[in-house]
Amino acid sequence: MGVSPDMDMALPISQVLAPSAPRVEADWETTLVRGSQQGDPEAFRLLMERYQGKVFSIAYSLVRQRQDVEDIAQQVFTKVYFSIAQFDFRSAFLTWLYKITVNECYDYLRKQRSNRTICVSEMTEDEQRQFTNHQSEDVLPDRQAELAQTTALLLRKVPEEERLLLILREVEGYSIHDLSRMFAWNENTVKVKLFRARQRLVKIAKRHSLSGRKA
Amino acid sequence: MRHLVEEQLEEYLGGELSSEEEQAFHVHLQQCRACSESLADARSSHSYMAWLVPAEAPPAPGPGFHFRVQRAIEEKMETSWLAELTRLLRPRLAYPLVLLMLLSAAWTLTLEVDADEEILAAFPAQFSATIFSEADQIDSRDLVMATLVDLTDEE
Repeated sequence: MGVSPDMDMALPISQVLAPSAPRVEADWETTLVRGSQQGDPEAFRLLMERYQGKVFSIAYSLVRQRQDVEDIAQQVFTKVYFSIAQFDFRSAFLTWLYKITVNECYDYLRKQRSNRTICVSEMTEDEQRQFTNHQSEDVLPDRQAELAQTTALLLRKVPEEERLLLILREVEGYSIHDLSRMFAWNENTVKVKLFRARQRLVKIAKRHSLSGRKA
Repeated sequence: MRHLVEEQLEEYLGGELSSEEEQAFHVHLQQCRACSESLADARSSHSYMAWLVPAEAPPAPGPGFHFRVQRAIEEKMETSWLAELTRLLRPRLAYPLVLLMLLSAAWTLTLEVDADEEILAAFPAQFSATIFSEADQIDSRDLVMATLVDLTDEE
């Protein structure tokens, strides 16, 4: 299959979900995904080049270990290569890729679960207040990374779909409209699922003795 | 009562409501305890999630990233032919196939070999492979008889 590299130039990453050219973008992506499904290495390379930044970004948000992010991304794209034949276009390719990335990050966190993770129930009252109100001003970068992992671990108990939705909304900053296109749901469904995801996350945090105390 | 928080929460948290909508939202909050609690929860979740947003830029892929992925794929392809075969067969076919293989292995191991067949199997192949026809057997018998007669005559 001949996919022109010029197509990549014509559609910068920032326009991935731009409403101005959804048709062209969808066609472009579909062409590359179908090419990759048929084993075209050039199509796969273009897909990877287009989305690797997003994989690195979300992996770094969740694991906060710069040196491990590339290994995780490598695993993600290897998995994508071997399972792309099963991608059925029911959602956007990017959504599917995000799902694999988040799962890979959770695999990593499960293996690394160690010294760096703060157990919420062991936090002092001040630390819990700081965590609940996101008072990041005086927090050292290392400590911020630990608190990010704490959130990641709380999120682990949220159902996979809701967790991904919440991460894409809060961390990657997608709008409700973008999310509705990415998941192929209507906007009200996205809102309801986000509402439930938020409630679930808070419930889990409370169960871990967070924020039973009022800030 | 319509619960505005569920419908407009995301826009409210993102500051995307118009001033009229925001005013109506606040009025509703004062009257609805369930929505006030939901909003408090949503704010908490927003705070927890904010820790995941890194203050610094994420690392960028190194120059050899594509090559490393390609190499990882090739290595996996070399080692995972069996996994690939299983994937192609899909569990629906793979499991009965494995079961069938196990059953045939068990049948082979428990098979009782006939004693005569065992002796025949131990006999050198060039002899055991020879099959005498009935005519051959008669010829042989005649030959033996003729030899015996000759021997008797000589005596």
